[in-house]
Amino acid sequence: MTESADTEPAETTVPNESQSTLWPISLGGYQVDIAMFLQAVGIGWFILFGWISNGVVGVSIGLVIAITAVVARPVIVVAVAHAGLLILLPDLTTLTAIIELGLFELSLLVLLLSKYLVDTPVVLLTAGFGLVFITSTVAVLVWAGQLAASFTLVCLIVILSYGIHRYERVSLGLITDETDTTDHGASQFK
Amino acid sequence: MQPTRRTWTAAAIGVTLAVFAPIVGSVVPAVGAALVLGWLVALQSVAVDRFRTTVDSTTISVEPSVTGAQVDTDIPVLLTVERPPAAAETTLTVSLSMPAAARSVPKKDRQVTLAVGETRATTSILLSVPIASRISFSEPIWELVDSHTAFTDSFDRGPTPTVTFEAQTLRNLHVGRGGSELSAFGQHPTDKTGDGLTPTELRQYIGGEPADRIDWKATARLSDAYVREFQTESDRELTLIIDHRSQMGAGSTDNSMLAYVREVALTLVGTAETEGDPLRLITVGDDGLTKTVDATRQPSGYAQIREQLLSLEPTPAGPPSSSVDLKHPDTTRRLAQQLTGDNSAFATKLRQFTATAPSYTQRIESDPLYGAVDYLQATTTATGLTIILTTDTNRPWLRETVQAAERGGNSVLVFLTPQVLFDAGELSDIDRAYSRYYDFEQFRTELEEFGPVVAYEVGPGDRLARLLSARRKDTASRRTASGGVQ
Repeated sequence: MTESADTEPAETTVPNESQSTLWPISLGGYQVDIAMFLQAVGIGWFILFGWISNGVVGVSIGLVIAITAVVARPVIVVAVAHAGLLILLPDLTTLTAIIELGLFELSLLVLLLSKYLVDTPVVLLTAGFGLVFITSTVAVLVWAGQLAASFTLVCLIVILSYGIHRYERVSLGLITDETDTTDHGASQFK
Repeated sequence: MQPTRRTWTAAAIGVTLAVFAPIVGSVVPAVGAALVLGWLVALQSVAVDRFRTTVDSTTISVEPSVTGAQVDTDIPVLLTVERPPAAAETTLTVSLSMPAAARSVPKKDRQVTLAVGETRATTSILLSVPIASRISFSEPIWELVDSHTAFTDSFDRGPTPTVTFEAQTLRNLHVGRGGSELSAFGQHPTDKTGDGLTPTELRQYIGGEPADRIDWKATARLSDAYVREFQTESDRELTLIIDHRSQMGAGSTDNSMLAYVREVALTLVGTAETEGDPLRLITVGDDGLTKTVDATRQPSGYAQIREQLLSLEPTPAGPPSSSVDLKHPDTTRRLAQQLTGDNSAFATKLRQFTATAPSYTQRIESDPLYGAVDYLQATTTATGLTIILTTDTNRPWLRETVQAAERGGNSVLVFLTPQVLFDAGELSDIDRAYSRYYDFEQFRTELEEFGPVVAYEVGPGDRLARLLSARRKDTASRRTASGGVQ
């Protein structure tokens, strides 16, 4: 065989900004990773929140969430935390419960985005989309019930995601004009 | 745009939370679902924006080191991917697709990957093709992954360079005269002396000549002033006129008349390039000129001519021409005059054949090959060497074409493919085949009587050798038989 290849190493001119370890903060003379710091704050808040709302049972649930946050990815933590929240806040009809829910979600958002904090567009868009989706879900819940709220949320996400996908195809020029412009050889007889 | 497995997992968690909400009768899981799914939509939006930036500002080049080469030659092809730092927020992998005819190269060797933050990468592969062809690379394949490994996309985009691979030689190619093989052609010294590079002779110095022409070594040796003469060299403009009308498709696909003519033409291009001679190309199809390349001595010009030659195919046949062979138009015209007033059946029949005589001039001028010579003489004033590569199918017209080509002192080289060597089954009747070959040979020598014209036969050497050998055996056996009777 005669084929061969010679690959040069790629040139790097920009640091990988998505790695938050490049963005440490200083605490008492120690360099602490911002992601780790935010994760610790989020976990601490869960345990505190559990203690305030449900005593020992609440602390236990907070510990389970904390352990999950250490061993699993943020999106798993969000799912587990909401399961725990069902036990911590069974009744959301009072204003206090709704405020507690807001504080809980804020800490979850911090935990979810702890790995992406330096990626400003992702953080801002997540906050924006999250707010819009939560608001619309609650609105539909009040207007048409729980089942309709869940269904509307999923449909909204699917339609939006597909729209973004189609926008990407068009903006990258990957959509070809499907209009049939061939003359099937007619030009040969002109 | 495709989500990765991680993204599907996250989406599944979000949907599960949304489904869980009405089951437990609480808004809490739905809020969690909104948060997770909102995060995914945010990642998707950011990925789209970064993909677009990457695609808009990344440049990809695929550069073969040459545009033409012989088959089985390794050609380095350089793939370079470059993007500005602002577009370096995605992982980009670009793979080069190998043409179907090329020898395979492992995928990992023909792709480059730019990780997040990387701006430039190159790779080089060796391209090799085992058959004569003109190959084009497909568009390079892009694979984009966003910085969070949440979404990917893949598509084809980029340059598609073409490389022409020429056959080494045709098997059984015969170029010669009267059945004898021609060993080589292409060198053309001028037989004149003067300034040049190749030394020829010494002569005595003549008063008044520049002193720097004196050969001091010879002068010292011979005790008189001597000058060394050099052979002068000149640039001769060559014009290749290639016939690729439907009739040139005779023979099998790989060994058609056109294939043999193409092989000779490629050799001539190589010789012209080596000698640095300006070369012009005119190709002729059934409907007239199909391609012209102005006289060039640039490597790119020779390459362009090679590419044109390799891409030639026989053109579709036009309407059938008259079957009357107007070998001697003047005689035909005289005959038509003699038949005037004769109303016999024989004269009437003959008159039908001569009916085409008045339109002869118009017909010869409408012949595409004649038109090519006409075009050449209309567009150039310099004398040079005109090389016509065609077949002997239309002999009267070819005769006129060669005569027209040698007007104005032009030298003419004609390469003819004898029809008899390409007709299937013709060699089964040796007498008939030899008779046709003999006719061809007479026609070829007739062409050489038109002044500075040299005509060669081009065709399959094995068929010609078989024809001549069978004829010799046949003649010998007849002699033996007639000797036995006596």
